[in-house]
Amino acid sequence: AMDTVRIAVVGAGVIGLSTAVCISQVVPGCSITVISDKFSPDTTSNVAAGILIPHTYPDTPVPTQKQWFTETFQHLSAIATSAEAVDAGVHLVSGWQVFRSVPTEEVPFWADVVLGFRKMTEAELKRFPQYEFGQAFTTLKCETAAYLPWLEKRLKESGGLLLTRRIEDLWELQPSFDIVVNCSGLGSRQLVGDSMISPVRGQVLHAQAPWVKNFIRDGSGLTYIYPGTSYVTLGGTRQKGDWSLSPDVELSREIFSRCCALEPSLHRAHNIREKVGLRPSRPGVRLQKEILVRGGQRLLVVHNYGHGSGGISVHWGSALEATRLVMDWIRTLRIPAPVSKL
Amino acid sequence: MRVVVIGAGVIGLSTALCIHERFHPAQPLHMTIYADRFTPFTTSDVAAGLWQPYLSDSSNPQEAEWGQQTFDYLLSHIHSQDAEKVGLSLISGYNLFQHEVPDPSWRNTVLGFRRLTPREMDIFPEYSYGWFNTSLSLEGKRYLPWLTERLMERGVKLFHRKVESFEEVARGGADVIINCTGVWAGALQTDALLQPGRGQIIQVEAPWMKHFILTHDSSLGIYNSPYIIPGSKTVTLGGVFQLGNWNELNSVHDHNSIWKRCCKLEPTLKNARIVGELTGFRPARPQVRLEREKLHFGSSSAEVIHNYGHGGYGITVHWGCAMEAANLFGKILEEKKLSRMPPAHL
Repeated sequence: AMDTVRIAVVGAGVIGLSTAVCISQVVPGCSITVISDKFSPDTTSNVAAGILIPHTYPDTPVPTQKQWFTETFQHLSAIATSAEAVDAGVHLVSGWQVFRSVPTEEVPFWADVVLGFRKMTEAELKRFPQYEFGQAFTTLKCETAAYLPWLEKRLKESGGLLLTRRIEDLWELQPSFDIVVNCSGLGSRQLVGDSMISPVRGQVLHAQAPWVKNFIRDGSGLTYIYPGTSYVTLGGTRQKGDWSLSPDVELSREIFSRCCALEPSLHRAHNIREKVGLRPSRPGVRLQKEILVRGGQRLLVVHNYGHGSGGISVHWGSALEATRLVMDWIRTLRIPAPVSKL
Repeated sequence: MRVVVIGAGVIGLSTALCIHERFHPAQPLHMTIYADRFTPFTTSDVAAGLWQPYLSDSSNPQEAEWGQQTFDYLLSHIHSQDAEKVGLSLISGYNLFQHEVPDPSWRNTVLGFRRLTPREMDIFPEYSYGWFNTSLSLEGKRYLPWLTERLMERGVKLFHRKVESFEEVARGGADVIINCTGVWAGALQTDALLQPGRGQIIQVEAPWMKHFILTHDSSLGIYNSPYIIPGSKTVTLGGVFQLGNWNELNSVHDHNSIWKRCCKLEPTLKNARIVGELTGFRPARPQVRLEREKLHFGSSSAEVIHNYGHGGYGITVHWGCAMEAANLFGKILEEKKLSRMPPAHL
C-alpha cells in the first residue's frame, strides 16, 4: 500500500495558503501541514490591496507571467460570480490607469485577460489634467483580510493542519515530512540563504471614503487608489532595501497628498490608518524543485517565493505550477528503489 | 419681487437656487419656499440618484439637452473637495438587455460608453447584450440638505406649509410662483397627463458592490426589471414602476419580488443586510411640464412657472430644467420692466 505523502508548506501568506489548497485539491493521498510564524492578519499579503494588475518580473518570461495571471484571473472570476464571493473577499472593480506621458507599451500583455480593456477617452482624461494617456478596464479585487481566512478554512475542511511555528532551518522538517514547499516570501533570504530576494517597502493608508467606487492608478505604480469592501487603500511607496515596518508620518502625508491630487474628494476621507508591508522582491519568481542533501539525508523541496508586488495577481497560477512540481517529486518518491539481483 | 417656490424636492430646491443665484441681488428677490415635505421625506430622497435618462428619447427633444446640461454641470463639480458633501460621485456599471438594442442618445454624455464584451456577458447569464459606462451618482439625502444650506445662506426662507391653491399664494403677495410640486401637482391644478409611477426600493449593506447594474425588459417597461445601484453607504435594490398606484406603504409582494429578482441577478446579495425599505412616487408624465402660465384671480394675477413631471429621471435633468425655469423667470422680469416703462412722450 502507498503511504500518505506528508507535505509541509512553509509560509501562510497568499502563496503558502493557495499552494496548500491547490495541492489538497489536485494531489490524492497526501497530508498537508502549513507551518508559519505569521498567519492572517499578520502576513505581508494582508497589507496588499489585492487588485489584480500584474507586476512585471524581468527574469520571468512574459508568456509564463501571462499564463499565471490568466489562471489566477479565471480562478478568482469563478469565485467572484459564485455564492462564495463575499466570504472569499473577491469582487469586480473598474477604473483607470493614467500615464503622465504615453507609455512605450500602450497595450500591456494582460490587456485581454482583464475585462473591457480600452484606451481612455479624451473626456475621461480631462479629469486628470497632468496625464496624457490612460487605460480603462474592469478587474478583480481579492481582499486578503477575507481571502486568507477563507483559504485556511478550506484547507482545514480537507484535513489540512495549520501550525504556528517559526522555522529557522528547512532541515527541521526532516524526517516528519516527505516534501517541503517553501513559500516563505522574504523569509527565504534567511531560510534558504537567497540573497536575490530583498524587501521593497510599501506604505499604504486605509481610509474611509465609501463614495469612491472606481480605482485610479498612476502608471508608474507609485500612486494608487483602490476602493475595497471596508476601506479605500491609498498608496504608496516602493523603497528598495528598506526593512522598516514602522509607518513614517511624513510618507503618510505625502501619500495622502498624491492621492488627493488624483481624487480631490479624498480630502474628506476619514479614519485613516497606516500600514506597512515588505514586498518579497526578486528579479524573477523562484518556482523550482531542489533536493537538499546533508549527510545521508535528502530533503525534497519545491520553492515558490519571490512574487514582489504581484503575489496576489499570479498566486493561483504559481500554486498550480508548484503543485505540478510537487507531483513530480511524488512520482520520484513512489518509484520503488531498484533491488540489485545477485 | 416676491417669489414663492412650492415644493422642496430636488426640482424645487435647485430651481430656487438657480433663479436666486442668477438674478439676486441685481434684481432684488424676496424668495420663500413652501413645502409639506422636506428631505429626507421627499420623492428625491427615495431615488437612488443615478444619472441616467430613459433608454428612448422623450417626445420633447429639450429633455435630452436638459439631461446633458445636468451631467456636464455635475461633472464640472466632481473634483471639488465638497463633492462628497454634496452627495456627488462617479460610478461605473452595467445596463443589461435580452437582445441587441440601439445605443442611447446619451452615449456621448456619459463617460467611456461601450458595449459589453462576451466575457462580461458571461457574468450575467440571463442577459445577452449590454452596455458599460461611467456615470454620476447624486444622492438626494446629501444633495437636498446641501441645497437647503446654500438657499438659507442667501436669505431664502423655507416653511413647512401645505399649499391648497395657487390663489392663496397669489393673494398672499407672490408675484411669481414656481410650481415644483412633483407627483402632487394635480392637487393644485388638474393634469390628466400626470400619474404616480410608484416605486419601491430595498436598501442593503453590500459594500463590496462597486458597480450599478440596471436590467431592462421591453415587455415590462422601464424600471420594472431588477436594478442594483450602490450609494455612498448603502446599495439600492429596485425594479418596480407601477403607474396609477398611490399606495405609499411598502408592499410585501413588491419586497419579495425585488429581493428575489435582485438576488438572481447578483447572488452575493444573499450576504447583504437589509437596512431600509422605501416607497416613492415618480411624477410620471409623457413629458416634463416646464412652461409659464399667467393665472388671474379677480383683479390680481400671478405668473406661474410650472416645473414638474420628471418621472424617473428628475435628478438626471434637474439642473437643465432649473436653468430653463430661470430663463422663463428672466422673461417675466423683462416683461415687467417693459410694462413699467413710462409711455413714450411725443
